[in-house]
Amino acid sequence: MAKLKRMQVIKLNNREEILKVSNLKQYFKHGSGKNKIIVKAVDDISFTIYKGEVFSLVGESGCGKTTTGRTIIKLLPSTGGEVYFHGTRIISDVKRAKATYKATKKELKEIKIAKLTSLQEELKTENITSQEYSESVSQANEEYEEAKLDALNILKQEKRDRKFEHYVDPASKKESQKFNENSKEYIEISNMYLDLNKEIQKKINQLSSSISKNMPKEELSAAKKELSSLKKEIKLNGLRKKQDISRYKYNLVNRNRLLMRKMQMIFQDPIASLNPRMTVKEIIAEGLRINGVKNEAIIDKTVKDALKTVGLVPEHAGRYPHEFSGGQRQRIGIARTLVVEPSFIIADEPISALDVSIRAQVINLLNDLREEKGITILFIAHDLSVVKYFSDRVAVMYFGKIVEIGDKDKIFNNPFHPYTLSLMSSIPLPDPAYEKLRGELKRYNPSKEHDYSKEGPTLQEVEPNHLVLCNTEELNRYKSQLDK
Amino acid sequence: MNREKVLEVNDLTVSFKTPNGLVRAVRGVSFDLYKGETLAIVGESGSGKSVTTRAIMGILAGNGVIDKGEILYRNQDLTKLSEENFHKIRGNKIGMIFQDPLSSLNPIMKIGKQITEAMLVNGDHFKTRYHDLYHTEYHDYLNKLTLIKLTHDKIKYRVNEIMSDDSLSKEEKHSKISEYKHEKHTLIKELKKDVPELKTEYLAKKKAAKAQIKAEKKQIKVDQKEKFRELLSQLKQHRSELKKAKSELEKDQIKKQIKSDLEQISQNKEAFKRQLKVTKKEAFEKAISIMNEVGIDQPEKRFNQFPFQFSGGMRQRIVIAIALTANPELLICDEPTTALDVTIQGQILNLIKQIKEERDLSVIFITHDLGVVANMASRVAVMYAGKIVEYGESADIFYRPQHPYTWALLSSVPDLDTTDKLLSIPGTPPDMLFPPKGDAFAARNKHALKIDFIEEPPFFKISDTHYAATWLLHPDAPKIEMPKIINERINRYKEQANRDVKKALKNGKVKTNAGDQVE
Repeated sequence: MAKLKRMQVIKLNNREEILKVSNLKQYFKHGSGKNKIIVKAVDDISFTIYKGEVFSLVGESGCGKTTTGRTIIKLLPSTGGEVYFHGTRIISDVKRAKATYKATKKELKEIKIAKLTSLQEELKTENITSQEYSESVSQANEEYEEAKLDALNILKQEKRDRKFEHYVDPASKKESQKFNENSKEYIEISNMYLDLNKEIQKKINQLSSSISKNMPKEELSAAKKELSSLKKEIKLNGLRKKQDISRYKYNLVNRNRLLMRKMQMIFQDPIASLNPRMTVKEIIAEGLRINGVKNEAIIDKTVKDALKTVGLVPEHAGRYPHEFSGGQRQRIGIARTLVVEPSFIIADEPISALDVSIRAQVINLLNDLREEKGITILFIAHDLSVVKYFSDRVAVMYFGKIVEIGDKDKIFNNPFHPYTLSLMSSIPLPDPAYEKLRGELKRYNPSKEHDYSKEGPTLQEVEPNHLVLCNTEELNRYKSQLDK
Repeated sequence: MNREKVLEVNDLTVSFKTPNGLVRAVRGVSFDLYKGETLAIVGESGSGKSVTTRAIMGILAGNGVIDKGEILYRNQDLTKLSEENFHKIRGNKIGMIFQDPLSSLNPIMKIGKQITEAMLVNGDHFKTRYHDLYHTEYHDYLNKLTLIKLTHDKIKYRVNEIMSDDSLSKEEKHSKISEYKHEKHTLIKELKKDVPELKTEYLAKKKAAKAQIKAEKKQIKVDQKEKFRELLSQLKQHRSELKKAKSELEKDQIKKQIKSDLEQISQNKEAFKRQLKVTKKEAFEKAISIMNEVGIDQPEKRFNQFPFQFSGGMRQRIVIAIALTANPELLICDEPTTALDVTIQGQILNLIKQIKEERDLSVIFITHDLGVVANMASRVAVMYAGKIVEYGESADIFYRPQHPYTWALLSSVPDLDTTDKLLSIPGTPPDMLFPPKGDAFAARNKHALKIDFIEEPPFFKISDTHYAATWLLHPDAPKIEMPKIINERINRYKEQANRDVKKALKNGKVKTNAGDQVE
């Protein structure tokens, strides 16, 4: 049943890109001069994640899967490559942009010089008058300047996108400064509250007219209570209106931030990722506060709702992380990400540090979330059986490179790359007979398995939606294997 | 089958004193371990599996107490052993591998030193022999003292028990206490009578041992000196010959002889040292051979490196190497692969298996990964809330599980063919400050019967090797099928196994055919 539902989710939302990663690189430099070492943690990887699916990154520790996640969410500054989130570029490649800017500048200059020399020759042969000549020279100069400015603007945009989440568009800033009592949105919001208040006032009038001293005692006190609560509501509405307006203003300025908050992360270690000095409520509300929510009532309500969705009790809000078990702590971590209503979650080995019995709870919870809320998940893990159970598409990483990527069933039914094969052979199963027969493990040794002396490997399509890192010779071999 | 029993744990009860009260971590665990077999203990964290093994190793935390039960290692009760006596067993006879290789290695100490440390510390041959000589008498004496102390403790415990019994009146309590005290005090008096005699005996033995050792040492030294003088005179002779020698050829020959003489002298020195203690060179050689055994490349180079220069798998290999230096008979592995990757996990498991077979070790393997258990174990014990709830051969546990907790464990892990919703275990393990009445798992068990909340289930025998503690096995209990997800999985495995057998048969046939053709 669950399976059917999942299939529907995927089909309905097919092919709407949420995240597009192209040529992402993350290098770490170490030492200087002679001892300088560059570790290519993530080396030129590209993939796309579609809406509503679970995309898994699998590999050994140290293969760069966690680094990929951290770079995408901008916890680490990237070395190269671009990332698009909801169609907006959030990570840009400044280095490459600078190089292209230089090249285009040079090209433009050459074009200009060629033009000028031809004009000079024409002037010498007296095809054109000196006035015409000076006019066309100035025109060429102008064209050159314009083209150069365009190229520079592109570079500036790239530089801006590097600090995407901090950048505030001057236009939107102006708009927010212009925003006042005469603006359309302001009037809308205030009208909404006016209508609300009118209704409440009506009720108050009705109630106060109906109240008389002849009423029974109980009814009287109840009516009085209601009256006071309604009056309170009017006061509160005034506050709410203020907050709504300030929130609208905040949203105007912080568009980029709002986009980035659609992307959230769940960390591996539930003990290390929760601040031991903060209560659960503070931990969960932190994201809201950072994103400009100031109303305590709203915060309280959202925190409680989030706790309910992850299967905890609202009373837990006042406790500290150490008072919870491992699974509950991971639930708090998940609640923290859910509270800002993300559309995309990066789950970095969320179940590796948990006990067996609790793993199932967390997997089921994540599964429910994506079915109910349509959240897309980038699932980073090394446990292949969980990956197969949980995800729709899988990418296998080895030393910073994706070696095999595609639909789950295709990869698990027909694994081609030797590294994927060795990973699959090492999954322990709760079946003693199988374990006894298994014998020696296959170990992946790249220098033995491949011969890339003639032709280097690239990601190539073996079958639809199934790419493998290989060269032409290997591709042909894989294809013949598939035909069998 | 009559096998040699290495370890026997009977009704072991361990609790921890905390500010909040007594945490009953292990509540009556019993199992046997035979030579050359692997026993896996499975359970959630907090089920008491680590505490059990720590009690066996004698490394419980300071607030841990063994209330009851015995741990018999080769018929020697480890719970009543003094700390000095335990040194002989811990590490030497029972080795242990811990979960996190990074935290069990010293980060600022070279690997080589860490491997050879134990060898060098325990390396003084004469010292160990000296202790061995008066060891039995000494420990008879110490054991008597501890016995007296334990009896005192018992009196305290019993008095408290009587005082807290509300059904008795004040006079009754007093009379009972005085009666009990009288009884015990006479016992103690009798025990104390033997003490001086034992003490003189042990002191005499100690003196004798000292003299004996001194004599032996002297003898060795004398022998060594004689030999050394011989070698030295030989060397002198060769040197004088060298002065007299005329032709180059002759000179070369004598030079060679001198060289060999010098070598012999150094060897003699080393051999003498080795008679006294484990030398650094000897320890180095042994360390290198063990590092080779656990599969570390370039051991000479690795010997001088620090733990941070090793990967996780290599670190775990080092930890295993350290455990193996003392040639233990029993190896306890406390989640040795939990912190490792799948591929490396496989390598380490294979290594442990290989070492186990080569050295004929008995292994206690603690884990919560059922796949690992299926790989390693010959027998499996499932623990929950400080108790073993089911134990049997590994085929019994995986193909014919009977306890609801074992079902829950099996069904909460997806395997490669799982598509249905996983059955997670609701709730959390019970707080062992207040151990639940009846079956501890009842509160999280949807098949729980009424009696589960009242009375603790005994072990029901399923087959000669397979026992489970659940009321569901009682003849009057309703029949409950195991969850669909496990049933399907087991059927699938069976099919697979049949197919594999057929395949193997087929391959076998093919081979015999080929053989026939050759003939």
